[in-house]
Formats: sequence, C-alpha cells, structure tokens
Amino acid sequence: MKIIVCAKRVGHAYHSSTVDLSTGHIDPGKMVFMLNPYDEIAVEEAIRIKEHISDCEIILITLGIFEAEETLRYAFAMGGRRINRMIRINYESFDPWETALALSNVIKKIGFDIILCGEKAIDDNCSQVGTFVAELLNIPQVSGIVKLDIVPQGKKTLVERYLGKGDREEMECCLPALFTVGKGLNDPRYPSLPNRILAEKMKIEEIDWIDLEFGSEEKALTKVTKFFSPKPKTRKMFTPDSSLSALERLNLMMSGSSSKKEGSTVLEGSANQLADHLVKFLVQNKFLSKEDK
Amino acid sequence: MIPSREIFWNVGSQQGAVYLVALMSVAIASIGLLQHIKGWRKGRKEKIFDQAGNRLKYFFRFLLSHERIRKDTYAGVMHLFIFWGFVVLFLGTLIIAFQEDLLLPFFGRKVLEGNFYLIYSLVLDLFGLLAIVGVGLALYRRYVLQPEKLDNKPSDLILLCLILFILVSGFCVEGFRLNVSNPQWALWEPVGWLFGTIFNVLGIATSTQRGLHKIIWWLHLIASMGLIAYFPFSNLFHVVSSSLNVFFRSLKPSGALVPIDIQEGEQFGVAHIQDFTWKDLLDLDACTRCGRCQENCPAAISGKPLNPKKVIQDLRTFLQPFSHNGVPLVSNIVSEAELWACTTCRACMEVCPVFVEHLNKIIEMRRHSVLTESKFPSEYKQVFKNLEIFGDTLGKGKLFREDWASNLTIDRVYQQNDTGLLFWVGCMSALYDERSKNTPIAAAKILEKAGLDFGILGEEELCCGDAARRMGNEYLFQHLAKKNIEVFRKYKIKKVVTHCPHCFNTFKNEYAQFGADIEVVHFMELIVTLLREGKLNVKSKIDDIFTYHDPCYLGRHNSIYMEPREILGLILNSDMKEMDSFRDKSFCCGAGGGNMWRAAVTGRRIEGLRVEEAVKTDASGIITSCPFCEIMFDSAVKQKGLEYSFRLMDIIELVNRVT
Repeated sequence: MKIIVCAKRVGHAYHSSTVDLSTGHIDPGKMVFMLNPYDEIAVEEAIRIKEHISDCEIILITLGIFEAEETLRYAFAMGGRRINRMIRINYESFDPWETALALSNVIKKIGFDIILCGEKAIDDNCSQVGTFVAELLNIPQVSGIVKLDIVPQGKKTLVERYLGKGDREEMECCLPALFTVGKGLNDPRYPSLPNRILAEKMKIEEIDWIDLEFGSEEKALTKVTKFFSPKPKTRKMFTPDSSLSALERLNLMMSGSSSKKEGSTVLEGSANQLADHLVKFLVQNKFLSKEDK
Repeated sequence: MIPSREIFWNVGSQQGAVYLVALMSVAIASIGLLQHIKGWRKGRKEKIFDQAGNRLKYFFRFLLSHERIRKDTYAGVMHLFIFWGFVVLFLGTLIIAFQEDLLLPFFGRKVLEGNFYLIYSLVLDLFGLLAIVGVGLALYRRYVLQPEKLDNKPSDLILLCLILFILVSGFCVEGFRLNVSNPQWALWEPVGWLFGTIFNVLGIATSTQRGLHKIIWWLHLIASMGLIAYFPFSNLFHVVSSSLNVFFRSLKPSGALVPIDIQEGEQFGVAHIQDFTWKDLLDLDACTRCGRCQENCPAAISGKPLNPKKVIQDLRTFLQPFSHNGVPLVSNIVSEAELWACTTCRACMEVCPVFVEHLNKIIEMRRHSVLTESKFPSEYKQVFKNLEIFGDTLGKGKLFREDWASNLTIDRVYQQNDTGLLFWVGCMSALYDERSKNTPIAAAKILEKAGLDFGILGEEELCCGDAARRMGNEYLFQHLAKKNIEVFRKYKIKKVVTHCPHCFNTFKNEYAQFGADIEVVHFMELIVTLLREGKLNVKSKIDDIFTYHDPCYLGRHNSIYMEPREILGLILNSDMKEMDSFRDKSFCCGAGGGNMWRAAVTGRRIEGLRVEEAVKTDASGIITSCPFCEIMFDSAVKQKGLEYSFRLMDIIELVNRVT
C-alpha cells in the first residue's frame, strides 16, 4: 500500500504587529514557522496505518522554498524509518489550484492508494488543496475525517466525519482515495531524538517547478490583490434576561454566557439531491440570486 | 608487677583454630566485597579522581565532625557513638594483632604493658561502653520509636543484635578474666570490672567463671569473625560504600546537570542499569536507607507516588549478583508516575548524609524516556512544541516579550550595542500574566534609581532552557542554550543580571558547558551590593510582617540564603518570620522539573502545603524571589480564599516600594 502525505510549512502570524502597515505584507521575521497542525495529524495517521499494515510505503510531499525542508524533516522525524521518501517541489504558491496542480502532477507519477492531507492550513485557511488534488486525480475524497479504518481485503475504508455539535457521519469509501483529516483523528507524537538525527541525514528529493508537465489548465485561479488588517470586531456584550432578579443576573454574568446555539440540520440523500438542497438554501438566504442558479 | 595481660590467656592451646576462623571469615568477606565491586563495574566509565587532596581532606573532616549526619540530632549522636566506639575498638584490636603477630614472634617484645597498657584498657573500655549506648539508642529508635522513614528489614535486627552481642560478650570475657586473675589494676578496666563485680555478686564460683570465660571467649570470637564475614552482605557495608561515596562526591556546581552528546546515537539517557556511570551505581550502594530524603521530599510528603529512597533502593537490586541487567528501568523498576513527580528541588540531595545523587538519576531516566522513547506526560508535548516554535514555554512568542516595558524607557540591546549590563527578564515574568510583569517593572526601576547602565534583549530573548532540561529534553535545551549564547556573543554581553532563579542557575552553572563566558548575578545579590555601596537608599520602612520562601534554585542549588534576609532586615520594621522549613530545608513550591505545566495527578498540592505553612507563621504575607513560586503561590492563595488577607510579593517589588 502506498500512502502519500501532503505536508505544508505554515507561517503563523501570532501578533497583530506582524503586518507591516507601510507595505501591507506580513513580515516573515515576525512569524513563526511550523508544520501545519492538520498535516501533522495526517503524518501521524500514516505512521499509525503502517504500524498495523506492515506492507506499506509512506511518501511525504511538500511544496515550498528551501526552508520548507526543515518542516519536512520534522514530519519525517515523527515516523523515522517508517517513512520511505521525502519530496519537495521547489515552488511556493498562494493559489490552491496551482498548488494542487503541482502536487497531483507529482503524485500521479509516484502512484498511490491513499492520499492524506490536512483539512486546512492554519495560515490561509483555504481548505481547498486536498479537494482539488482529488479532482485532478479523479478519485473520491472525504474531507475532515476523524476516524479511518482500512479493510485490507476489500481495498476499502470506513471513515467518520465530524459534523459539529457531536454529530458524526460514517462513510464507506473505496480505494484509492484522498482524505483530508480533521482535528480529533489522533494525537500526533513528538519526534524522538534518534529519529531527528536520522531525519537530518535523510536525502530530500527535489523536483523543480519547471520539470512538471502541465496541461492547458496550467494557471493560478486566484491572485492576492491586497493585504489589510481587519477592522476590530464589535464586541458582543452579554446582557442577561432583565426579568431575572439582580442576583441571578449577576450570577449569570459571572458564570459567562448562557446564549443558546442554533441547531443545525443534517442533509441526507445522493450527491445530486444534496447539491439541490444546498442551492435551495443559498437562494433562500439570499447568498445566490435565482439568475445565478 | 608490670600491668599487662596474656592475650590468649585461658585459651592458649587453640591459637591455630583462631587463625583458621579469622581466615575463613576474611575469605567470605572478600567474596562479598568482590560482588559489590562487580556491581559497581556494571556502570559506564567516568574519571573522577581529580582533586584527590581536597577530597581526602573533606573525607576526614566529614568523619571527624559528622556534620552531615548530625543534621538529624538523634541519629547523628547515635551514629557518632557507634562510629567512634568501633574505630577505637578496631584500632585496639590492630594493636593486639601488631604485638602478637609481628613484635612478639620476630622481636620478642610487647607494647601492651606498663602505663600504656593501663591507658589502652581504660580507653577501650570507655569506647566500648559508648558503642553499647549507641547500639542501644539505635535499637530503641528502630523498634520503639519507629520513625516512618525507617523500613526495618530482618538484616537490620540481626546486625544490631550481633554487634550488641559482640560488645556485651567482650565485657563479660573481661569481667571473668579480672575475677579469675584478680590484678591490682582492675579499676583501669572499669566496665569489665563492673561486669566482674556483677558476676561476683551473683555468686558465680571462680572455677565456673574460668570455664564460662573460655566459652564466651569463643562465642565472642566467632561472633566477631561472623560480623566480618557478614559485613559485605549487610547494611554495615556502608562503612566502605558510603565512605567511598563521600570521597568521590560530585564537586561540580550543585545546580548543574551533566550534558550529553545529542549529535549522534540511537540511545540517550539511561535505559538500563549499565547506562549509569560506576559512580551512580556506587551511589546506590552507598544508600543506608536512613530515609532522610523521603522525609524531606515534597512529592513524598504531598502524597505523590515518588519516594526517593525507594527509587534508589529499587535500582540497587541490580547490584546484586545474578540480577537481570536487560530489564528497562523506566516503567519496570521506576514507574512513570514516580519519574515525573520529581520537582528537582534537591531537598533529597541536600539532606542525604552520604552524598547520594538522586536527581541526576531521575533526570537521566527522564532523558531516556523523552529523547529515545518520546514518552512523557501528555501535557508536556505542547510545552516542548511551544519552546521549539515560539521559544517560550507558554507559546506566546517573542513579539510579546517587550509588552511589560511599554510604559518604561529601557534600552534595547539590539539597538544600542554598548550596554554594560544585560537585564534578563525571562519568560515567566515577561509573558505569563499582568501580575507577573510587576517584578521586571520593579527591577527596571531599581536599576534606574541606582543609575546603572543596562539594557534588555527584548524580542531576542529565548527561554533559557531550564524547563526543557529538567523535563529531560536535552535536545531542546542545547538548542535554546546555543541560540542564547550566540545572542550573547553577538552583542558582546559579559554581565547578566536576572531575577529568575531558574535562568540564573542555568546561566551560571550550565551555560559554561556550551562555551558561554558571562558573569551572572541574581538580582538580590545586586540589590545587596547597591545597598551596601549606598547607590540605593531605603527611604521608608514597611510595617507589615512577612515570611520568606527560599526558592529551590536560589537556595539549595546556589546557596543564596543570606541576601534576602539581609534585604528584609533593612526594609522591614520588625523581624521577618521564618517558616518551619527554611533555608536549605525549604519546601518546594511544586513548579520545578516541569511540574508547573502538569495537573497534579495524585496527593495534595505542594504549593498549598507551603502556603499553609506560611499562613501558620501569622505573617501578613509571603515574600519570594522566583516567578515560578509566585505563580504557584498565587493560585494556592486564591484557592484557599486568602487573596484579600494574605499577601504575596516578590522581594524586588518590596525593595522598589521603599527606595
């Protein structure tokens, strides 16, 4: 079994002063860089699969500049000898489609049974690359999984997705497939020192952007036009029900909000039916006009 | 008639048998000794024969003064009695052997005659009595008082009874001999004479006494030789192992841990018994099970699973012959709960009379657990990742590091290159919460008042690595230490002042291991100097009564006890109050060794016990000088609902208020 894990080096801007107001860009010197926590979960899941199914090959792929190798080595150190190859595509793109193109191009050549990606990257929160890669490779995709069981004989998997508020959706998915993993799938391990030492010695295969063979769709679909700091959010003050006594109101305020969360509905049916439902919902709530439909 | 005595009087014809028994017992003892040596040699090699002169000098001071053993008065006096009793009796026996086996056969001369014999008899009698009193005290303590720290094994009883029998039978023999031979100088052997008088009063006939003398003489001999043979197999072996341990005690700075090579290898720290050094294994053998560590360990007192004595004794089983060396230590011999409960407060090592080093064994096993196995309490993963990604344990990031100084005008070292003194703020003070920022603010104001030229690193500060190192993550520690040293070099920093005892200890004792060349002072040392030089003046005094908590990393690790008391003496109107445990016996706040980031699993909260102790003094507040202690006490004080009645402050804040 071949498992491919896509890992991203993310720059985390943890402080409001990280954006240089004169240029509108984030100052890299004021960011911290790390392996995307969701991708970390994906790496961990791959390692756990290999612990159960010995006949397994794990390949880590990243797309990024030279510094991304450090992150890739961290991911390698989590698994040590269990990880077979590391590949870095020497290119950095802000566009999910472009990234997915590059990744799918390389993945297609390697071959695969399972592709694991993080649900989203914590720097841009796009959550698109995984889905695009699945689309480009023409394989099924389940997003945000929180449980993954592999049935080795039938070449299929049982997965669970988290729907929010405690609801879970159980699915069966044939292989090969792509899964984007959500928080809660596992608790990623901390690399041991021997594995870190090993990771430093491991060779990372480098693929240059130019060497990739793109088709006609070779183009970034989005472009960053402007960075700006968000307006400060208006803060919602909690005002307890005025019919209550003063003491009860005080107690409520001190114990925090008692606001009720709105319930959600789970849609069921075939993909077509679901899409219809969604469009209906969007039109009803005036996200789409009837003409768009 | 010249006072003297015939050594083999009344038993003369069987001298050969005596030597045979002696030879046999020495042979058995040698086998035992070899087994111990074999046990020590299981460990790795380590060269510690440096400063042999100093070591020897200290060894004799240790033996003569008993200063470390006397810290527990009862046990100290008891040990002193038995020790000196046996030293003198042993020397006496040596003199006999010297005379009988060397002087008499080869030169036909005797030393034990005349006045020397009389004094010899008197001294031996008195010291024999001293030893009996000592053994009596020991028996009373062990079996009547039964302090909790002592665990009684059958071998302890056998040993004490054997010693008592040897001493009493010796005096019996002396009494019978005096009665039968009836010399004029009988009173020079007072204890023997007393025994003889008792036998006479009991009305035992002289001929019977002569027969009894022979029987008991042999019993005495066999018991003595038995003791020699039993010696390496019993607790009495501490005479050798503990003495060696005192001689080979660590002369390194007490706050420093030994670095390990993290560049190469598959195995780090201690996984199996043979990964310890021979000195570590000697340590295990030197443990006399006195239980002082257990009595002072904050983890043990607060009901956590750790008991330092048990850890040492459990590890010691590997020194016995036929023990299985391949057993992994962590989780088989030392449970994970025990391993991670240690706060690295060093109370155990401070009270250990024979310099057993509990701490480095625990850290070495933690290193194995973290570095090789990647197994540790789940809370620590985030701490390690925070340190790796953000450079501080809290995961806040360097951009928040200057927040505390936003209302002050302080030089940043990276803007001005020629700062004389670096004020190192530390993560806990700069990042933890609003309250913890009071200390660096007060410190900066004091430095300003004293007119000192100083700067801060601000955004370029990283965690000193103490927490990572004590949690066993040597990789992370060395990583951080090297980065910090690089920054020191970049700005040519020579002198550092800090108020965090953990940073202070790490800089002072551990950074030199990685080539740092800096002078480090703790803020209190600086304040004392400034006050003495008159650069800082106390303008008013404080009326409240406070008690002072000695942080472990300042007190026990670096022996700073006088400075805070001197400062408090100058700024308080009345005397400060001491808690029950203070100075080198100070009780930990529970934060050390990574326990700050861990939910207390079992037992009572350590900081709660300490705050209770502080409240008991009737002081109006507790003063400390460590950001970690402050955070721990803060939560304990609030938990007890004392936040409006019991104050908690850093000594630096107090000094800032009155100068």
